[in-house]
Amino acid sequence: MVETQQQNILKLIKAAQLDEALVSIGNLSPTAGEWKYVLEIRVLRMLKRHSDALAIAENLHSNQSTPKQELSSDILRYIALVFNENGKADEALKIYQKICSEDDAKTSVDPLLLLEYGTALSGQGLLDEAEFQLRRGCKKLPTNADFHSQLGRIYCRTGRVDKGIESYQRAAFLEPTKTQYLQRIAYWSNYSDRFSQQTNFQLTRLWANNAYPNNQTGSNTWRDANPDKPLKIGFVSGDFCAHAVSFFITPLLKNIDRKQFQVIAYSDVAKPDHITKEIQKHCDQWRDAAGLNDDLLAAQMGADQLDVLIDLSGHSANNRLGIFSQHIAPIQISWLGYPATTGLDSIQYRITDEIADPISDNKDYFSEKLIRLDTSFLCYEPYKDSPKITTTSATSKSPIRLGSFNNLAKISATTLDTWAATLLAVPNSTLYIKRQQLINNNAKQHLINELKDRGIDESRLILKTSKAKIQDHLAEYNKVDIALDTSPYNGTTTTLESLWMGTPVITLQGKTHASRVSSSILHHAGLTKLIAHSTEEYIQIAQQLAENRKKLTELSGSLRDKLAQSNLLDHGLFATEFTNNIREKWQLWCYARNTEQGIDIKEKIMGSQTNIGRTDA
Amino acid sequence: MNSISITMDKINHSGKSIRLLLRRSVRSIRTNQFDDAIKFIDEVLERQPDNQRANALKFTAYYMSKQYEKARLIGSKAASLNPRSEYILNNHACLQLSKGFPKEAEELLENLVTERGENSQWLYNLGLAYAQLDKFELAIDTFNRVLDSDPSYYRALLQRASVELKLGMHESAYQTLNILRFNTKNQHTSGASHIFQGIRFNQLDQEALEQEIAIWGDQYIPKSRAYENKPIDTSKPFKLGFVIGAIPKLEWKIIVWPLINELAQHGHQISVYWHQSGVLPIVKSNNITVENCRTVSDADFARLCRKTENDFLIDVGGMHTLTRERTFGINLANKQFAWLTHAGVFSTPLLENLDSKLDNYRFAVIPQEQENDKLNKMPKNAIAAIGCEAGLSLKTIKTWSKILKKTDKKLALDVHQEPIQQQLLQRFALYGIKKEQIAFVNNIDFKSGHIVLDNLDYNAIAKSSQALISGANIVTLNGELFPAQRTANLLQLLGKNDWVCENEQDYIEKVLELIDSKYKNSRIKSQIKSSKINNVSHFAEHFITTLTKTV
Repeated sequence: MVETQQQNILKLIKAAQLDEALVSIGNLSPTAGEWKYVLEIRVLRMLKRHSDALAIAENLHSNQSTPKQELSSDILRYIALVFNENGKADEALKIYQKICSEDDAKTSVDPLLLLEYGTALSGQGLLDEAEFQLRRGCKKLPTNADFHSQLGRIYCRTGRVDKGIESYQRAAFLEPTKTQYLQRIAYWSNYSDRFSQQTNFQLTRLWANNAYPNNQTGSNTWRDANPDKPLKIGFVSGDFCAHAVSFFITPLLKNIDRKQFQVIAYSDVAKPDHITKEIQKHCDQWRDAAGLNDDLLAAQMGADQLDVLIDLSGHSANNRLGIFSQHIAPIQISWLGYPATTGLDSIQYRITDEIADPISDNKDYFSEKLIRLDTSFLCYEPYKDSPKITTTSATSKSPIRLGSFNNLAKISATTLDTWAATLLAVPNSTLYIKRQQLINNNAKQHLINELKDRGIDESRLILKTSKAKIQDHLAEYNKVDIALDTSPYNGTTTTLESLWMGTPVITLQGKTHASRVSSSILHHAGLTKLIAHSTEEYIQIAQQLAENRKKLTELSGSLRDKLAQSNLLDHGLFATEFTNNIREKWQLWCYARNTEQGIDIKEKIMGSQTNIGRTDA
Repeated sequence: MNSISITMDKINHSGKSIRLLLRRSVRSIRTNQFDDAIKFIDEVLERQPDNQRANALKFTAYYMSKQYEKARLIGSKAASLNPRSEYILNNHACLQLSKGFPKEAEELLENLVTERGENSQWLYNLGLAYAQLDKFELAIDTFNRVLDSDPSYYRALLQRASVELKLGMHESAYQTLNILRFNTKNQHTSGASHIFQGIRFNQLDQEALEQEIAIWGDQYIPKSRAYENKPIDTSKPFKLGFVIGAIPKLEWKIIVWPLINELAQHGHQISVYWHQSGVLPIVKSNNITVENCRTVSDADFARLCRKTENDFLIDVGGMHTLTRERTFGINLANKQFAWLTHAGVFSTPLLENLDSKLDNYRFAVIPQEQENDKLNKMPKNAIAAIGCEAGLSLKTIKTWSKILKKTDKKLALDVHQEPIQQQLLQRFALYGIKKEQIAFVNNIDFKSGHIVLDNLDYNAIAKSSQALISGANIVTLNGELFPAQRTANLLQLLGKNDWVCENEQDYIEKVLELIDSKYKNSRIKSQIKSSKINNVSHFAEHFITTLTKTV
């Protein structure tokens, strides 16, 4: 009898008749057994009635309806799942810990349970424990793509990018229809020295073909093709908050000429903060996109009748490229948040500069046309209450303090080789690495081992986690004499912060945008002598600075002024340059629209690559 | 008069005009009546041998009726008369390529691409032509042009990987094979190759290898287990099958083949399933049969093995090219083992690790037959490196560079392919080693006291054995994966534990100590000659005893 009831409910669930299933579950006797609650929670989750599911889970867990000690692993697992989904991660983890702790040899823990546990741990930033549980589960079920993708995420975030990409590659092979795995590979390939720019391009195009096979340049001719009308520009980002993007978007928004442009921000920020409010102040209209799926957000954008839509995320987490693939606005542009191509034909332009992406005879590995600004592609607004520069080592005889506050994922094999060689070349120097990810022991140990393997004793390393307050974070630069940049993925905000805090940054210039961002910054700040073109030159620059303390002191003392006087901080100039280019592209679109109905704008401007971005036309 | 002569010219003795004949031939081609078409065309060509359209149609008729050689023979003329025909130019180029005339194909395709623009198929074929002409860099560029416009063109990825391997660009090839996997799931061989390259060039750790092999097995091994085991009668000689994959020739010659002959002498029936290139081994025993399986499908191979009803099937191929690991998943013999050349991890539980069952005594060797192989002198003031024919991982190069920086010795690498040599020079240069410190010497004539470094990722045990037999001193770094532990095992068997290092620092120090002659062992030659590693007969007994114990 019970089995038949259960089967019937399962059939209803399978047929997606969830309301009927819920009624059937409600009709069951309270003594039907715990599977009743399992099914009820399951159906409520499927119906997205999370608060109802949570109520049942809490009820069960607080021992009100079923004696707690009798709850089986099955029901506890569902309770943990619901808790984790509804902001009660700590309690969820306690349950997972209990039901996953059996000795593998005695009781075989369901690997999918380990996947849930590992994912919950990962969500809480407990990456060491998450890695342990996920590896445990993956050993049992290596053909499940989710294990590999979760592990890939952890490996990449803790500085083991190549290992992480390998894991994502396994996931992509196992589930080729989940194009997000391929997207993660393309994204992380920017951090790895194993991938060329061309391979990144091919991977990204492959992702675009698979994820959005119908993606193409559209004409969107329903706009009023008036070349001089005020334009509606939409900016889409999930980083309108205390995030590096805010240092660059805020000065632009403040300086856009409102007679010519109207700014609409589409903010996909889950937890808005005081920076969100600050950015919002400088927008004409503010749309909260968090919680809106792509279709709903696209509908909103359609209703807003945007002329230009600018993506600030690229392939970074929580991106909205799906919307861009629909070609919502006549002109679509990629800027700032991602160092390589989006791979989408529907994004026509990408904003950069001649140092980050020099004009060459070789093929550009971008699906977009490049708009090379005459200024830097970045405009930076330093933190207004930045601490004073108090670097002292330059006047003392103490050992040189090298340092990097970059994302651990950027510390590639090339970077490690270069840093180790620099440490060996500058006697008694120390290397201060500061990053929040170092809270994870696996990340820390990986770094120590890799540098040890390159002949650097642990005693020469200072590894610390980040400071919560930005003032404290910036003050730490006073403990660094020379900052070492990463390659092939340079620092951006880190490089600018470092210079602002009077710490010179040595960079190794590469061939890709990601490996030339610091070069662009240093070039525009008039600090080209800090740009190395080979590892040997990188080491030589560090040696020369270390050996000439007087020069180092002078340089350090001049950096803030140099930066302040450079076009990197000339917000008005940048905004003019930026918007002039947008206006020019709009005019091109209008020209195409008015002269040849339906013309492919990309075709029209083909061949004028070198002129793109010039404002003198 | 003029018009009369033209009209007469268009009409043959049976009164049919050329236009009519050509029209008929087109109709015949459209209805797949190719013989008729060719008959009509030949009538035209009899009168007008250089008729542009007739030549084009004849090529088309031959090509469509799959008479490729005939099409190829007339293709050049058809192409020269129809220089704008994409169909003739591309297909004739393909035929030239398949017949080993890449130069002709290159010309046709370059013209086609220049005149008619980029097209993935033409570029792909052009890439093939470049590869066949050993224009490897151009070939890679051309395959990339295909992939830039069509990133899912999996054959271009496959060919790019193949060329990258020829150039010794292993990390790139490994990545290419990885990307290939996202494009097609029907490539179990490239999947195996991906794993093999990962093992061979330090791209996989043990955990990743286990995951990769499990995934490969899950994807490619048929789920049914059709073959039933029969009891093995241990009182009689065994029926033994040896699956010989694309293993190094020296391993076959001095380890595997001597064992097979020895086993045959003891009355065991041996079936050799041959997958190597080149001629089949010469059999001198009635107890040995050799089946050439190089071009046999997995299904036919499985049938062949089952028919023989082997008691034991020994895989000596692992994940090398032409791997048969898939077929072991459907159980081809009563007992299946992997021996000597595997990765230590298997995609099916039906395949077991024989090496671990053989304890430390895993193989025996016979000295190389010197009359068949020209041996070369070791350069002066050099140490040797073996197992480098296919190139080296950056890890191995980095470690060896650290040694070279601390000595004035040269490093003599056993590489004879020029592209690999160039690649190695470039890679050593990355770690500050100048080309003057590198030499390339194939088949070194090892002597007592020579110092030999073995490939750190994929040990060359046959060459190591040879070197040891000749009295050379070998230092090895015991690696994480099974293929990186084989030389360590060999040295341990010989009681030379002091030549086995557990970390890079020790390894470098040990090599430098040996260079300084402090620990050089000149007695190794006599030690190894009196050891059981040099006794194939003894090993054959051990081999059979081990197999018997598994029953």
